[in-house]
Amino acid sequence: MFYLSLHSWSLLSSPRFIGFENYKFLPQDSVFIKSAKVTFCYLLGMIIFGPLALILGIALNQDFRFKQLYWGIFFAPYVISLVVSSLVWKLIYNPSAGLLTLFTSPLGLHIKWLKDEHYALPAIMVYSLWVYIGYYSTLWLAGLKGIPPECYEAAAIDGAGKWTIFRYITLPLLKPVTLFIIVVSVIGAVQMFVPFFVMTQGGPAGATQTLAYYIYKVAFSFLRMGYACTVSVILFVLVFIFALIQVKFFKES
Amino acid sequence: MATASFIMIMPLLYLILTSFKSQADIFNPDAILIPTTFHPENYIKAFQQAPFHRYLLNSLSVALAVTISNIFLCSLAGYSLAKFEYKGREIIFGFIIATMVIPPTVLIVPLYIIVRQIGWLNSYYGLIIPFSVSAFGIFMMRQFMLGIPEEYLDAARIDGGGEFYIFCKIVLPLSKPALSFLAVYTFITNWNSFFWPLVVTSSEEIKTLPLGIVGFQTTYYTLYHYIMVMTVIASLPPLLLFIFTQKHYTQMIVAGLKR
Amino acid sequence: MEGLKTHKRRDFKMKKRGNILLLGLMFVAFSFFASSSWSQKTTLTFWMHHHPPAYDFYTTKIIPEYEKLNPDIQIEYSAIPYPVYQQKLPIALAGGTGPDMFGLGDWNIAEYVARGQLEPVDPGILGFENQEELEKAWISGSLDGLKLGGRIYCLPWEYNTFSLFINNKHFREAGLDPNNPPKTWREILTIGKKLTKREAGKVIRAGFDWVYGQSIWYMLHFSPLLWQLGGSILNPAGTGCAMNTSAGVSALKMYGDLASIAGAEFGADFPTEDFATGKVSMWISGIWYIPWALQINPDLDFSVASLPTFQGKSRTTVLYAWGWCVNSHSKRKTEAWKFIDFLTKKAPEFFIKIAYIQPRRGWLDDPQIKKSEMYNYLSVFLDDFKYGRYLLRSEHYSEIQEAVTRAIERVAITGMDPEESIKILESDIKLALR
Repeated sequence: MFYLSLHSWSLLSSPRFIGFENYKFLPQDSVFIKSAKVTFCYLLGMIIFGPLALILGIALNQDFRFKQLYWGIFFAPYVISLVVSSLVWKLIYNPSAGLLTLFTSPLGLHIKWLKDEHYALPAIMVYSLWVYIGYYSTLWLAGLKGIPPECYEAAAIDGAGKWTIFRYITLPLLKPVTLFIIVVSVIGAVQMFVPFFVMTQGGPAGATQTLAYYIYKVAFSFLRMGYACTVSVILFVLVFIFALIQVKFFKES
Repeated sequence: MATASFIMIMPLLYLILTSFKSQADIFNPDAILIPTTFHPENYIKAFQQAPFHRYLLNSLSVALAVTISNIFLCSLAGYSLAKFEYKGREIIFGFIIATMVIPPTVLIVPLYIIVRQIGWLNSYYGLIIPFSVSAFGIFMMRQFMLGIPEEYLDAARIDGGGEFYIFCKIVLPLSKPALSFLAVYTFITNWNSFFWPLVVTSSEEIKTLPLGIVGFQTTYYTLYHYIMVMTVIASLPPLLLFIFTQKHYTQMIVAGLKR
Repeated sequence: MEGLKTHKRRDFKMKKRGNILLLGLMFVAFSFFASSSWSQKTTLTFWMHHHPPAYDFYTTKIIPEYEKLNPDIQIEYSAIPYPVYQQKLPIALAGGTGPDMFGLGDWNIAEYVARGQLEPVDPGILGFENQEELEKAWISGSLDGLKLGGRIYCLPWEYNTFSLFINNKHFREAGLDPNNPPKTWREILTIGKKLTKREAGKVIRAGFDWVYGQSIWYMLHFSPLLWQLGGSILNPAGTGCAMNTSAGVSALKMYGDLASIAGAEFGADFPTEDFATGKVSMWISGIWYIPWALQINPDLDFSVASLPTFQGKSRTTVLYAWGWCVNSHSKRKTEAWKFIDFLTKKAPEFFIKIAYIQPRRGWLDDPQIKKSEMYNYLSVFLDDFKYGRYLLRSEHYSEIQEAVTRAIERVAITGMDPEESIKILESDIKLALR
């Protein structure tokens, strides 16, 4: 990938070495800059909702009636292919006959959702949340299950309250899992492609064009594989640095 | 919990109900949830649009093969990275994580060229082998296995157990929650995988389910109701797998192991 | 320990089953490979974007017919959904497994030729002495879009222009005469506003609407407006953006004004449905739309009119063609061209069933065509053909199209000032042309 970023390659003919030319274009590329902003916004949105999954995971760790059923319901959206669930939500967001209009019409609200440059990205964020909350909470659940009950028992014997247990036992023991979930969700959010492709194709006017989608367009529509690799390299470097920071932060003794 | 679940399930209900609608109803504002006419024959008609029984079989075979392969290979690799010390371990681990960061789009073409060179285009090999191990899986197993207390392993070693014995009898059972998730994740990811099969397959015999579903979308219109039908059908195997693995999310078994 | 023992046994059983499954798969894969290398026939791979009426036509009529006439040829036809067609084609071509022949829109040809993917037509294979003779067999001008540097690269299966569709019923209801259709964009603006119906602030019927969300539609709709005012997207040398003129700004402004009639609400999802179901009263499309619309709504009462223009300006319309091309790396070029030749002689069938205009000379004289229902609408389109112009040609077409799409969306959907949008467009195009 690094190698290719130094070339100009249209996929259909042989690559041509051009050194760092590709990198020079990056700052001039208004679409690249906008895509980076959009990607960052999306990532922020996803991170803010991260703790929700943890809460749900803890909830699922308890026992209550119909737990399996609720769990299944939350997980089910992930099971469906992203392409299809994006299509379903595209229908849901349809301003004239979508599912949402059932709720917005009585309120007199009329929003164009996916065609509105202010609501399109939040709309996709809500969709992503719907798909992944069950997935991430199940991951947390798996992590929670990995904590030996003796730890809890010992703490209870010592007279610790629920919040103390959580802060000083559960959280630290969850560290490796937390690292994993953070890194994976960031990588996942940054590479998220399908809903942007199916629901908005990066529109309107680039409001939902993330770097992942831009790379795809550059590579396969514009037939500039070399430049696509250039953007990918930048993306890679950024995420990699982030991951390294996380690993350092979570390094336990 | 109940309200949250209700919100979660709405789109799914919508999906199921739409699979019974007639084409006109899909955009009918008066029939958003409940169709005006029920068309269970959609289920039969959808299958007739393309060789879906074949697609289903292909998807199933490929997804199962990839899942099984991943469970074994990733847990082995994860265990090695988590519990053994050796030179270069951190570098290898860093490298594995790095591969996760590369956008799939960029990976597609070189991978395609390699697969073509080997001659695996339009074959099950091309669909399975590149995904028989995943960085995600290795990463995940490593993290979860880090949480296994050394004492258990040491106790087993003292008892005279060989490494592989320890792996099978102690590490794997303790990792059941993680393994269950990995199985479901790998299966779903592969079952729904779209772009790679699109690029690698060209004949109807090898195509997988998502490719078939996309066929309902054409240049000028989309047959939403058939898409919904196929999605309902397509959701069943992964859901079944999930339900099957739900009971494996057990808290670490302690008592029997201390012996 | 008991629990663990049974667990191990279960594991082992699973492993065994897994292995058997894997073996079974390998066997299936092998047998598939074995069988495919057995065929004695020459296989022609043929890819097209998926259009259901055409798909049925190819698979049930044309291809079997050709295979019967040529028993040593087997045609492997793949209809790929258009959104993914754009990616699958370059990837396959890059990997060397591209199809022998495939369909392409005239605007993409420059890109593929510049990258050495298309084989120019060999007049000899089609039975002509030379290129001039070949061109004479086609309606003059119809091959121009598929020519580059004097050589013809594709033969067209669809030759189109866009004209105005109006809903007669809506016109009459509003006291307008469908036989006296609007001729200028300003008239469309006024009439469009008049025909628009709102309910609780929501548009339930758009007097006029464009198609949003698909780049090629933006180009096909916007370009005539620009040309009518004397503007163009690129300068004549093709080295820079030429939209920063009063023509460019006015064209974009008018496009935006017309978009604001319905507030860019419909479209993109179902451009074809909206007019047929009466949600849009006027729109701009090609003759191929008619069988489609009638299939959705057989009672549709509509008429076709010439593409509007600006008051006092020349009439300019857009031309576009879809053609069959041959892969320059194919080993079966001759067979491919022969099949294409066969396909281009099927004008009556193409026209009657799907309303594709195949511009081989003399197609209009075919009695079947004269009798068909489509024939009644033909005159308007034929007239618009005369003023037609093809979209811009560039080896960076896709990137330029993308930049223009964004510029149009900025004005039509987000309401940005046209001048501002054009400024951004200029720098985008500069980047695109590198």
